[in-house]
Amino acid sequence: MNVKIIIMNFCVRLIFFSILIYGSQALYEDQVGKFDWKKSYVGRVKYSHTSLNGRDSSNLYVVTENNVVAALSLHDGSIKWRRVLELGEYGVIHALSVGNEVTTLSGNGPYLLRGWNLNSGMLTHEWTIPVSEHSGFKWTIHENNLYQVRFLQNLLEVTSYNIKTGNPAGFTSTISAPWLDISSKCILDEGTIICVSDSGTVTARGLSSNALSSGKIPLSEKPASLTPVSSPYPSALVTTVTGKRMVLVVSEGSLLFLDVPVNAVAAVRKSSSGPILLQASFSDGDYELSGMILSSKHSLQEKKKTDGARLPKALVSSFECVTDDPDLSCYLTLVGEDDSLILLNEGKVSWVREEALANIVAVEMIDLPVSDEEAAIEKEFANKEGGIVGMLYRRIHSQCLQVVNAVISILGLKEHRSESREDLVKDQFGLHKLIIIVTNVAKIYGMENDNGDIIWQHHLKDVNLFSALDSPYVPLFLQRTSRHLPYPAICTLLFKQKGTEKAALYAFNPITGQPLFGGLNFYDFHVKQTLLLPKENEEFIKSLLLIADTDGVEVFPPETMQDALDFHQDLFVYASDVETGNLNGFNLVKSNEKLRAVRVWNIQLNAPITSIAQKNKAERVHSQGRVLADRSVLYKYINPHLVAVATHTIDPVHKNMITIYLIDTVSGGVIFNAAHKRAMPPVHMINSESWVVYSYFNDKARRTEMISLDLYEGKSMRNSTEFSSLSYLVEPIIERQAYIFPHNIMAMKETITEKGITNKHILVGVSTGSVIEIPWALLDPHRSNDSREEGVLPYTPDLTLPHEATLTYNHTLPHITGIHTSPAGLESTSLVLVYGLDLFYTRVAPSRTFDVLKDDFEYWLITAVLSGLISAAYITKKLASRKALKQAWK
Amino acid sequence: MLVTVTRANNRKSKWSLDYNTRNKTDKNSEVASPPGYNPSLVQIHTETNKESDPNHLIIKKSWDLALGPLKQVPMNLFIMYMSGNSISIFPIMMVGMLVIRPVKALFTMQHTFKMIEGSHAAGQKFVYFLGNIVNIALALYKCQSMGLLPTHASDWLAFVEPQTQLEYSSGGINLT
Repeated sequence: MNVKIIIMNFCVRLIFFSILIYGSQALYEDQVGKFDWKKSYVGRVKYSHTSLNGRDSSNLYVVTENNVVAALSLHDGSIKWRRVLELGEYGVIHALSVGNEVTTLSGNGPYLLRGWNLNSGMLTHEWTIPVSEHSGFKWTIHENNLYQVRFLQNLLEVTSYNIKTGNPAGFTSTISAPWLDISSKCILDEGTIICVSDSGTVTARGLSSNALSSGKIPLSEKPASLTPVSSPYPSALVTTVTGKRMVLVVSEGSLLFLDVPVNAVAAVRKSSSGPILLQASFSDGDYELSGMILSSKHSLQEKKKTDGARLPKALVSSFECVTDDPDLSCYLTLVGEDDSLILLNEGKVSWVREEALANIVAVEMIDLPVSDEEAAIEKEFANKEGGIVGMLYRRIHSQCLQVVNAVISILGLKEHRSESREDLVKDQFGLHKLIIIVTNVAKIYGMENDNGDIIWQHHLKDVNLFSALDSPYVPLFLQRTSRHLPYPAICTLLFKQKGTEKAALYAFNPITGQPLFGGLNFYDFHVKQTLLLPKENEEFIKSLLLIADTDGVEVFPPETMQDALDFHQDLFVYASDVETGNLNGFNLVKSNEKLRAVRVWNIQLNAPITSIAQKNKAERVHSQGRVLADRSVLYKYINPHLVAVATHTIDPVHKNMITIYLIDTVSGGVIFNAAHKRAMPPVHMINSESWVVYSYFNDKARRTEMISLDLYEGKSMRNSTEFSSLSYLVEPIIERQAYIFPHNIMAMKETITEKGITNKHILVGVSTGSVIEIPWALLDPHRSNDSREEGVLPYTPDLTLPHEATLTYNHTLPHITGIHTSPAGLESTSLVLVYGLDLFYTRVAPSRTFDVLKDDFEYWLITAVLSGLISAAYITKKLASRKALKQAWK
Repeated sequence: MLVTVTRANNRKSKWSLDYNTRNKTDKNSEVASPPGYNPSLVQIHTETNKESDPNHLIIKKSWDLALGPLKQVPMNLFIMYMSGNSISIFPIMMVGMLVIRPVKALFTMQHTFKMIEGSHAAGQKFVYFLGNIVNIALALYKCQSMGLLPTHASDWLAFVEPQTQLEYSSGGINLT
C-alpha cells in the first residue's frame, strides 16, 4: 500500500516536472527555421572528380579531409548528397575513383572499400581488407582494380583486389625494382608507379601491364616532392628543392616533361592531338587559363581570365572539359589555400564554397553598433557642452537628420553602399549580432547571425595556430566592444608566426573586418600566456598582456601600459603543461616601469591533462545562495578563479583513471579532487557559477557518465561584499551526484544570459548528431529521494531525455566539435551556435520567454477586441444619453 | 414626558373629564386595556429608565465601542483556524481583512472617539487601541504561520549583491 502511494506520488511529480520543464521547449512545426538555420559543409577537398552528364546531373564528386564523400552540383555548388565516414583516422579516405559508381577507400586497417551510387549516394557495396602487420601502404584504383603497394628496399609488394567483390585478382606479388632506393620519391597514379630518384632519374612502371619506362628529368636540381596532377594519364608534378616545378606525363610508354610556373596550378587532359597541359596561373586574385600541347609544346591561342574575382591562391585542382577539342571550355575546380572550393567555367567563377567553415577553431558573437540616427541621438545626450543653445542646435540637427533620412527612404533615393550593409545595426532586443569565426587555416569570417550570410572574410597567410589538447587553438579577445561609438570595436587574435613560432597579434574591427593597429604585429618572443585586463581605460580599451616564456610582459596596444601598471599586484596568470600536468601560477610585479611575471605557486599533478575548464569571464550570477527547506540560505561558493582540471592516468591496478581537481588559480590551492577508477577520456567539463559538470566514459560499465559538483560556502558568508582568494581560505561544502548519460558526448556548453537571472541549461552535442538541452535541475546534486525541498526532483541514476529537449529537432549535425553560447539583449534568451562539419544556429530560452510576447500572440485579435469595446462604449453612451433625454420629456 | 403626565391624570380620577384638546396618542388611553395587558410592567421599565443618567448611557455606549475589537478576537481566532495555512486566495483575503480592519480602525481612532468624552475616555481609548493591536498581532501571527513574513535570510536573498573580486586571474594551457 505504502509503496503504491510512493510510486504514485513519484509518477505525479515526474509528470508535473516534465510538463514544467519541457513544456516550453518543444518547437512547433511552423517555427522550424524561424530562429534557426543550418549550413552544411564538406571540409577541405582532398580529391575531386567532375562528371559531366547534362546540366542537371553534372556532379562534382569530392572526398575531403573531414572524411566526407559528397556529390556537389556543378551548377550551383549545392550538396546533392553527402556521406560522413568515421571520425578521425578510422575514416581517412585514401583513394577516390568515379566510374559507374563512386568508390572510396578509407580507414587505417582494417581498410574499407565502399561503393556509392552516383545519384543518390546510397552505399552499394562494402568490403574490408583485413588488418596487416605492415603499414605505410599506398593505394590506387585503376580499371576496376584496387592496388595496394608497399615500398621496400629495391622491392615492391603489390596486391590487387577487384573493387566490386574484394577478391584478390592475383596474389601478392613481389616485384624487383632495382631503380627504387630509400631516397626515391614515389607516387601512384592511374595504375602506374612513378618514382623519381635524387639524381633525377624517373621510372614509371605500370601495375597491371608491367610496362616500364624511364628517363631523366631535365632539371639540374634535386627533386623535393612529387604531387599528383589531375589527369587521365599517369602523371606527377615534380617540385625541386628551390621551388621549380615541372609536370611529367607518361603517355604511350614515353615520358613528357613541361615546366609549370610557380603561381600556376596545372592539370593534364586528353585531346585529339595528345595530352594537353592546362594551367591556371594566379595573380592578384585572378586566374588566367592557358593550354599547351605537351608533345609539340605548341601553346593554344585562347586565354581566359577571371575579372576581379578576388580569389585565393589555389593549391589543388581538377579539370574536366566538355569536348575533346583542344579548346579551354573546361570546368576547373580549385581548392584554395584558405580551404575554399572554387569552380571556374570558361574563365568565369561559377561558385565558391567556404569549406574552411567546416573546421572552426574559435567563435565570438559581437553586438552590432547602433544605427546612424541612434548614434546621433546618443551623441547628443552624451555631450553636455555648449549650454542650452548648443544642445538645442544638436537636437534640431539630429531631428533634421532623421527627417531627411525618412524622406530619402520613402522616396527610395537611398543609394546602396557596397561596403557596409544598412541593416547591420543593433536591434531592440539585442538579438542581431555578428558572429566572428576563426578557422584552422587562419581564415576569419564575420557572419550575420540572422541567416548565416558572410559579411566579410579575411585570410591570414603568415601565421600558424597554437595547439591545445591535440586540437588547434586561437586565443580571441574582444578589447573594445561596439558600444563606444565613434571608437571602433577591437578584436584581437593571437597566432604564431610561420617559421619562427613567435607571437603574432592580429587586431581588427569585428564589424567591418578592417585591420587595426597595422593588422598583423609580430613580436620577438614566444608567448606563454595571455591576460586581458578586466578594466577599460578612458578610451574603453581593455589592455591585453602577453607573457613571454622569458617572463617578460608586453602590452597591446602599447599605450595602455599605464593601466596594467596601475593594478599589477592584483593580476595573476596560470600556465599548465599538458604532458606533465605541471601548473604554475604567476603574479605580475613592476620593475623599472615594466612588468614581469613571477612564479608564486606550482602544482604537479604528475599525469597528462585531458581537459581544463575555466569560468566564462562574462558570466554574472544573480542569486547568491540556495534556499533550503527550512528557509535558511546556503550561500554559493562563487570563486571566479576556480579552474577544473582533469587528468588521465593509466594505472596497473585500476587500468584507466580520471582525476578531477578544482584549483584556485590565484592562491594555487586545490579545493577539491576526486578520482574515478576505470574511467576513460574524452572528458568534457563545464565550470560555471558555483557548479562543475563533467563527463567521462566508464570503462567498466561501458557508458558515459556525468558528474555534477555544487560548491557552497555555508549558511553564512565570510565576506558579503568582496571575494579574495588570498585573504582567507574557504573550504566549500561540496555536494556531488552521478548520472548515466545515454549518448556519447562530443561537446558540452552551458547557456549564458545577460544578467544571470534565467536558469542555466546545459547543451550537449552528441555523436548521433543532435544537441540536447538539459536543465540544470536534472543534474542538480541536490536531487535525492528524501528531499523536502521545493523544485528538487527525486534522484534517478539515468537521465531521461525527452525528444522535445533536442534543440536540433530533425537535423543531424555530424562531428560536432563545439558549441558557443552568447547572451542576447533579452534576459530570457541565449544565442547558440553549434559547429563541427555543419553550422547550426538557434536561440534558447531556458526559463521561457518571460520578457517578450510569444510570437503567436494575436495582435489583430486584441486590437479588434479593444477597438470594438471602445467604440461600443461610446455608442452606448450616446444611446443612453438620448434615452435619458426622451425620458425627461415624457 | 407627555405620556407620563396623562398617566398621572388617569390615576387622579376615573370619571373626571379632561377638556383639554387631546392628541392622537392620548386617544388610545381612553380605551380599556386589553386582557392580559399589565401596565405596571411598562411602569417598572419607565421607573428604571427614569433612573438612568444620560452620562451613564454615554459611558456605557462608549465602553461597548471600546471593547468591540477585543470582542472580535475569538471570532478572528475561529476564522484563522478555519482558513488554514495554505497560500490560496481565500486565506489571503481573510488575512488581508484581518490586517486591514484594525489598521484602519487605528487610523480613524480620533474620529471614532470624537463624540465620546467623559471620565473614562482615556481608558476607553487605551482599551480600543489595545484591542486593535491584539487583532493586528493575531493577523501577524497568522502571516507568520503562513510563512508570509520576511523573517528568514532566504527572504532577503534576492537583494544580496554579488561579491566584487579583488584579484583577477587568467591563463590556461601553455601556448605551444
